[in-house]
Amino acid sequence: MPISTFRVINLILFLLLILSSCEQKPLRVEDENLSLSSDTITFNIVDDITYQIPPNMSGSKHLYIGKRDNYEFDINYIRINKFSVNRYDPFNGDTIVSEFHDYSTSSLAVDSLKLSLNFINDSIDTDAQFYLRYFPDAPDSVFSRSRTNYLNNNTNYSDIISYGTILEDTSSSYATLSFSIDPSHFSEFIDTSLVDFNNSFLIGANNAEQGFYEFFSMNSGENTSPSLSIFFKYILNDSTVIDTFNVHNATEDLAILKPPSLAENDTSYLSVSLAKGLKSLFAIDTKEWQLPKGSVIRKAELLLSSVDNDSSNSSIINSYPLKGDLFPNKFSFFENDPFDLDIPNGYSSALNNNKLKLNHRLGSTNFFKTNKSLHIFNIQPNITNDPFTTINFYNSNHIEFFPKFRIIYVIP
Amino acid sequence: MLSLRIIKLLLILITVSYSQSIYNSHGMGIMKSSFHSSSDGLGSIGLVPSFTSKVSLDNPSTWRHLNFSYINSSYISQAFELKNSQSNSISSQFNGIQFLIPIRGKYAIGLSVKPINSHNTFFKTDTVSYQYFDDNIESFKEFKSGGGIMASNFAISLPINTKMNIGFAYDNFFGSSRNEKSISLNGIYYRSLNINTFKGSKYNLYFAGELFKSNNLIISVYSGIGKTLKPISGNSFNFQLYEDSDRNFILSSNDFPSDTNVDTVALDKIYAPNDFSLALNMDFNNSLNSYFEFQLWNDNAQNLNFISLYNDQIISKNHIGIGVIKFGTLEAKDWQDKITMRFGMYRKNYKLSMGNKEVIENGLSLGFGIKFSTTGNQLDFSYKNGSRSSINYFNESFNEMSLGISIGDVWFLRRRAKQ
Repeated sequence: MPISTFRVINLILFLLLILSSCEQKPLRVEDENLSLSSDTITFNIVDDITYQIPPNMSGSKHLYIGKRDNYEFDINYIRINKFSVNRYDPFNGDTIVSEFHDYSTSSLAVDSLKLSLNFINDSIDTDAQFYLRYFPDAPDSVFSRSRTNYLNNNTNYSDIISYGTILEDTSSSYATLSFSIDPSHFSEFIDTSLVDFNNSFLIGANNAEQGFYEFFSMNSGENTSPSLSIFFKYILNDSTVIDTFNVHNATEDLAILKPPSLAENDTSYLSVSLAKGLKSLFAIDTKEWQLPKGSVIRKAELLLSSVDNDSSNSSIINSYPLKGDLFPNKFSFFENDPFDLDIPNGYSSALNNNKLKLNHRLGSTNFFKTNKSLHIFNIQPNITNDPFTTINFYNSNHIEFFPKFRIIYVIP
Repeated sequence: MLSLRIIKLLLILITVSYSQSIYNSHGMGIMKSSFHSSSDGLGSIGLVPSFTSKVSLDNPSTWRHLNFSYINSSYISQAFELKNSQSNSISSQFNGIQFLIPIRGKYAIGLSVKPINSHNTFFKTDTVSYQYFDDNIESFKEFKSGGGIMASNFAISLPINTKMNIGFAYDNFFGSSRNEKSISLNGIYYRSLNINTFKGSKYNLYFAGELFKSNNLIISVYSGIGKTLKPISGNSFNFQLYEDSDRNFILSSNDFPSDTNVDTVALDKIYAPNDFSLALNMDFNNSLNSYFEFQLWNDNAQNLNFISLYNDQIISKNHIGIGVIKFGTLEAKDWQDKITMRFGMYRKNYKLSMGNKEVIENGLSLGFGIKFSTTGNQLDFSYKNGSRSSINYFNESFNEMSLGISIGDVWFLRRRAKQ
C-alpha cells in the first residue's frame, strides 16, 4: 500500500508543530557548586555626635507668631509674586494687568491694597496687635528661605505701615488676618525703574508673648496662601470705569524662630529636631573590608533605635552621606551648617516601632570605589514632621540599642 | 493510516513527558556525534552505513555510493529528567542541513551547516529560607543557558580503488552562547548575563574499505580521525550583576545599579577536540547489516576564563556501539520492504575535568526510514532512550526523537548514451 506524498507532508507539518511548540520547564537541582549567593556584614558606629544650628522653618506648611514651649516666633517674612493669580484683560489681549509694573499706567488707579493671611483656626481670641512692615530701602533680596534665621534676619525694614484686623467669617473655615495698605506704600512695587524690587513684607505682633498663632504658609497650597489683593479702577473709555482687583499670592515665606534652651536628653542622646535645629552625625569605618568584585548591595542600612517609648511615632528622618571628613569631637553649635551633604545619595525613612532603617545603598556602592574607609552620615528631621518634636536615638554607648550599619549584598 | 496515527500519539506522549540535559551547562556541553536521523536511529556515531546500503550521511568516504544528489535536514527534540527530582523539561532544535552531490559514481562533495553542541539548559533550585538578623529571606536560583557552536562543513569523497574510498571534511566553527544567572531574594531578582562568541576550525579524515566479500557476506571497515586546526577561541562579554527592580528581565534605569559595566574577556583555546573512530560493518547481502563502532574523543583545551553555569567541562569520551539495520529498497513491491529498520545500543564514558568525575551514558535506539518517490526521497525517524549516571553527581534519563527528510534529485550523474 503506497503512502501518498500528501500524507507524508501532512505528517511532517504535524511533527514540526509538535516539536516547535515544546515548552521549557526548569529542572530542579540541589544548590551545590552554583554561583550567586547572598551575605551580610555589620559595622558598628565608631563615632556619633549631635550638633545644633539656628533652626530654619523653610518648607513648613505654617507660619507662626508668638511663643510656645519657649519657642519664640517674633517675625515672618512674606515675598509676594509680582504676577497675579488672575489676569485683568479689558481689551482681549491688547492690555493685560497682571505684573506689578502693569499698575503704573495712566488708565489705572490703585484704590487700596490688602495683605491677607489665613489662620489655621476658624476663630481667634487675642490681645495681640499684629503689624506689617515692608522693605522700601532693602536690596532685591530681603531673606533667604534656606539661610535666614534668628541670628541674621534682615532689619532694614520700614516703620509699621499697617495693623492687622482679624476677620472671622462664618462661611469660611479659617479666620483671616488682614492688613490694609495705603497705595503710597506700593510705589516701589510698581516702579518700572526698579526691575527686581524685593516685594517683601514683614509681619510681627505686639503683646504676643502669651499667645501662639499659626497661619497657612505658601506651602499649604494656592487657596490658603498669604496673598496681596490690589483693588483698582480701570478707565476703559471716557464714559466707562471698571472697579476690579487682582490677587497676588506669596512666592516665598519664612517664619523666624528663636529656639529654647536645650534639654539634657538633647545632648546626651543623638537628637534631631526641626525647631531646635538639632542634627546628628554617625561615622562608620569599613576598615579593610571590600565589597566582593561584581557584587550588588541589596541593602546598606543605618539602623537606629529611638529612646521614645511611643511606638506610634512615625516621624520621617532624612539621612545624607557627607562629602568631607569633618567630625566635631563634642556637641557644637554652628551659626552656619558646615557639613557638605551628598544630597543625591540621601535617603528618607519613617520611624516604625521606634526603629529607623535608612537604606544607603546608593551612596554605599561608591564607598568601595574609593580608598576611604571612614564614612559619615548626617541625619535630620524631614520638614513634614511636627517641628516641635525632638527625636532622641540611642548612641553607640548603649549595650543593646546602639546604632549600626548593616550591608546585605549579592555575590556573583 | 493506522501507523501514522500511532506515530502522532507517540509523539504527543513523549514530547510532553520529559526534559533537557544538565550536562549542557558543563563547559561546552555534550558534543554531538551524529547529525542525521538515520545515524541516530542506529545509535551510531555516523561511520557505518545507515542511510542506504553502503552510505552514511555523516561519513564522506561512503558518499560515492549515492544514486542521487540529496538535500538532507533533520529536527531533533530532546527530553531529559533528573533522577531524584520530580521536574522535567524539553528542548528541541534544528539539527542542520546538508547538500550532497555524488559525481559520476566516483566522487562526491557535500556542504552542510550543523550545530555541533547545545548549551540549552534551564534549571532552578528549591526555595530556602534563612534569616539575616530581623530580615527573613526566601531565596532560590534560576539558571538558563542557550546557543552553542555551529559548524559550516565542506567535505569531499575520493576513490582510492574500487574497494576503498577516503573522505575529507573541513569544519569551520562559529556561533555564540549565553548564560543567564539569577537569584531571587524575597521576590526580587538579581541577574547577570554572560555572552560568549566562538570561532575555530577542525578537519576530519575518513576511510571506508571492503575487507572481505563473498556471496553471502561483505565485511567493511570504516575509520575517522578528527584533528583541531584552530582551537575554538572568542570573546566573553560579562554583564555585571544587577537588581532587576522593575522585573522586566533587562537592565533599565529603574534597576540597581542603573549603569553596569560589561567586562570583555578574550577567550583563547577553550575547545580543541580530537578524535579517532573505528567501525566494522557486516553486510549479509540480504539487506541486513550489523555493525560495531568505537571512538576515542578528547578535548585538549581548558580556559579558566570561559564561564559556564557549572565550573566543569567534559574532557574526554569513549564510545562503543553495536546495532543491526535492514535496508529497504525503492524497487520493492510491498510497502514494508521499502522501509529501513534500525536498532542499536551504545555506551559512552565521559570524564569531567573537576574531581575526576565520570559519567556513563547507556542508550538504546531504534528508527525507521520510509522511501518515497523515484528519486530516493526518504523520511527518517529515530527514537533514543538512555541514561547518564555518575557517582555522587547528576543522574538523568533522556528520550530523544529526531525526524529527518532527504530529498533526492539527479545532478552530475553519468547518463546513458542515446542508442
